[in-house]
Amino acid sequence: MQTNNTRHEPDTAFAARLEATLLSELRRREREAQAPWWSGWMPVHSVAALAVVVLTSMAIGGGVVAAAYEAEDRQAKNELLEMYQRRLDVATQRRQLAETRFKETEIRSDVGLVPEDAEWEAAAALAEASAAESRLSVDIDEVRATGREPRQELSAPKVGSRDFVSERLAAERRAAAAALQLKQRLAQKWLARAEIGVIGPEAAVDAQLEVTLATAALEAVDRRIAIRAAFLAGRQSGVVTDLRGMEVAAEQMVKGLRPKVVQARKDVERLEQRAKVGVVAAVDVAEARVKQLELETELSKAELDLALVQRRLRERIESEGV
Amino acid sequence: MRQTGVGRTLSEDDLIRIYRDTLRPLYGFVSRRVGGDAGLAEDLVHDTWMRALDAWPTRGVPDDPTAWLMRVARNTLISHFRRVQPDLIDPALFDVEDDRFSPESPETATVVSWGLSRLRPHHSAILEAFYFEGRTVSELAAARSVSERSIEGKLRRARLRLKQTLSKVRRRD
Repeated sequence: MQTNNTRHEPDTAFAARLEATLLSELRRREREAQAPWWSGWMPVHSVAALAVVVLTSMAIGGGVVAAAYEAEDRQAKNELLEMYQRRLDVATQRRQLAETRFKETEIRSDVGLVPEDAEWEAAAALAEASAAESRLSVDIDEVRATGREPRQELSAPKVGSRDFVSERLAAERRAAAAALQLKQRLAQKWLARAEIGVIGPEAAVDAQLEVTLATAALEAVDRRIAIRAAFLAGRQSGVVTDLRGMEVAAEQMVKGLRPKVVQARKDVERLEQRAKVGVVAAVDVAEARVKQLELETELSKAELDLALVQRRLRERIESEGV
Repeated sequence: MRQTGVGRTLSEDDLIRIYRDTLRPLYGFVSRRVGGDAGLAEDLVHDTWMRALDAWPTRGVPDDPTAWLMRVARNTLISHFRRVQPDLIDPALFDVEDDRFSPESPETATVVSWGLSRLRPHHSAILEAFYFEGRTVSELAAARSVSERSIEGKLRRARLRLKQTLSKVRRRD
């Protein structure tokens, strides 16, 4: 049930999108502010400046002006490229560190030197770092081709013959597939450990949950690839394309949270049983309950976000008469 | 980073911090006035922020960005509602003189906001506070340092004006 308060809360996808838009807009304006001296003038002055430029270029040759423009554009593009290159360097280092950390954690986990969930955390960090590096390598190509910030939305146009959105999605898919493979391998190991009693049965359930989440993440990328394809084929408008992309993201959030909520409820029940026989402290039960409540609240918010996106999508489709 | 007109800079960090601090109150402010219509609220919040990006780098970041954003959002809402024409309304659903009337749905909020955009500021301000900010008569009286009786009178007159304005879009069966 949507309450008066939640109804007036911004959608998380919208908040993230607007933040990215504002940052991109601020950077664009800053680049423009560093553009030639006549560009900041008022319209009347701009006309005069243009006349000056025309006369000057006639006098000293159009080549000089053209070269000035080119140099200006090149400078802005180089600055942007440098920034993305730095980000990619950081992402590569982060991925390398995550790989090392994962290998070490796996070895330590095998001999019981780290908590059970450390291995999964290291695997998640590695998957995230690999995905970020893959995306950034395509971003750099896009900046190199356009001289502008990469356009992340599913409805972004192609740049010449290159489709950077699809390339980015393909990179995301490779990273998601690798993450799934990694988690499946880990899950098999954990199930084998659970069978011989080295770890508890609940740890095996956690392993299965991780595989489910990684599968859902891969499916979400596949759906976004299909949405992009439908847009490129002209089967849907840009707005509908982006709304469908937001729907996939919101659904993925819900799908990711549902099994966690189920698991949290089971954890609470299990701990309550143990607390009755004095094996577990009351504070542990209380902590598990808080975690369950937090997850339930997150799920409610995610379901609301999904419902709102779906409503907007329905309205948009109706208004477009699709 | 860019130097602003009043000496304050608008760096990316500033922008993100202010954005994250103000988004929820700003969105709530707009959303209540459009009855929770998420699409419209998002468009208006987007427009408001674009105006901030137009103004802040040259004029400087205001001391109270939330108040600035809300003031601009309010003007943006008024401009929006002056441009649109709502569907004809059922008078039974819009008895604004009834104390129990509350514009909570997108349909009723749109019509009331449309009407408020056509009222004089002193009428629209008190009705906005009453309908969309949920202020009670006693809270309004305390904020304006007047008696509750005075507020009741102002509200009655403002509602009457709103009713007259809404009669232009009243369905006649």
